[in-house]
Amino acid sequence: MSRRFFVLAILAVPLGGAAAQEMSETAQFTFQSTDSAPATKNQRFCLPAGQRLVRIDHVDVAQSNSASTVNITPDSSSPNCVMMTVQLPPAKKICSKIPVTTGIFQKMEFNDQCTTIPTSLVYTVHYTAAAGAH
Amino acid sequence: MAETTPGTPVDAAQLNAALEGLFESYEARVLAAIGLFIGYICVFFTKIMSFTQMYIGVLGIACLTFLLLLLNKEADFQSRSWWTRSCAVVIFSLILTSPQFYFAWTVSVQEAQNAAQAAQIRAVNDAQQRFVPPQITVAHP
Repeated sequence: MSRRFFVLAILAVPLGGAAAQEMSETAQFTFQSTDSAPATKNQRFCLPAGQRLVRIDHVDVAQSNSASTVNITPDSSSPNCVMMTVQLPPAKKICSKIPVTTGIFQKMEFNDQCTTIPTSLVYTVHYTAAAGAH
Repeated sequence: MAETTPGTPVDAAQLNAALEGLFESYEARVLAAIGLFIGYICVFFTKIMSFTQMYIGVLGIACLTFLLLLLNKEADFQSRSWWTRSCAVVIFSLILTSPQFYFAWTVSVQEAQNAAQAAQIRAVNDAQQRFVPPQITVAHP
């Protein structure tokens, strides 16, 4: 009797663990804007089929050259999806006066040379997902 | 000096005397001085005074030549020939100094261009590599 119970217990532990198996996953997102006005971008991220979002652990920012705002909210219509709303500040324009020569007397003038630096944001979302539909 | 007609051989002594007379004139000395010191003049205008406009250098050399001509004790401002000679010397001095002056000026402008472009590249790189932390809000499901 006790031996049978022991075998059942050994089998039950891994089977039970598999049923509630959680896995840590990551997803990387890149946003870029070259607009001269603030830009708002929405992105819906859904987990692969057969996975259910348990929680968002943390967000690692890999690159951000402006003070952007990121809002990550669960999608009410689909439990394995999240909505990301990113507000990007306007792209920066850096201008310098570059001397150039013009005219018959080679008069030196200064021309504005501008370079637009796009606002970029790259981050990785670390989340925990569970196998099995919601 | 004896008059010579075309085709008659020139006396070597006469030719030497004429050349010596030309090179020993005050104007020739002014041109020699300008030619000798044009390097210093270019450095003074382009590096020390940082003039990047070419006409400022041209005016500077012309004024300097004229100033040297004024230092002549035998300068006769009433004489028309003195003014003619002075104008010719100023024009000659501009022609004489033009290669070195043009080179110095183009180098000066090129350096200004390079410095401005390097500053632009530095500013762009700084702005691209700057890290500004975003504000992240996560609403947990």
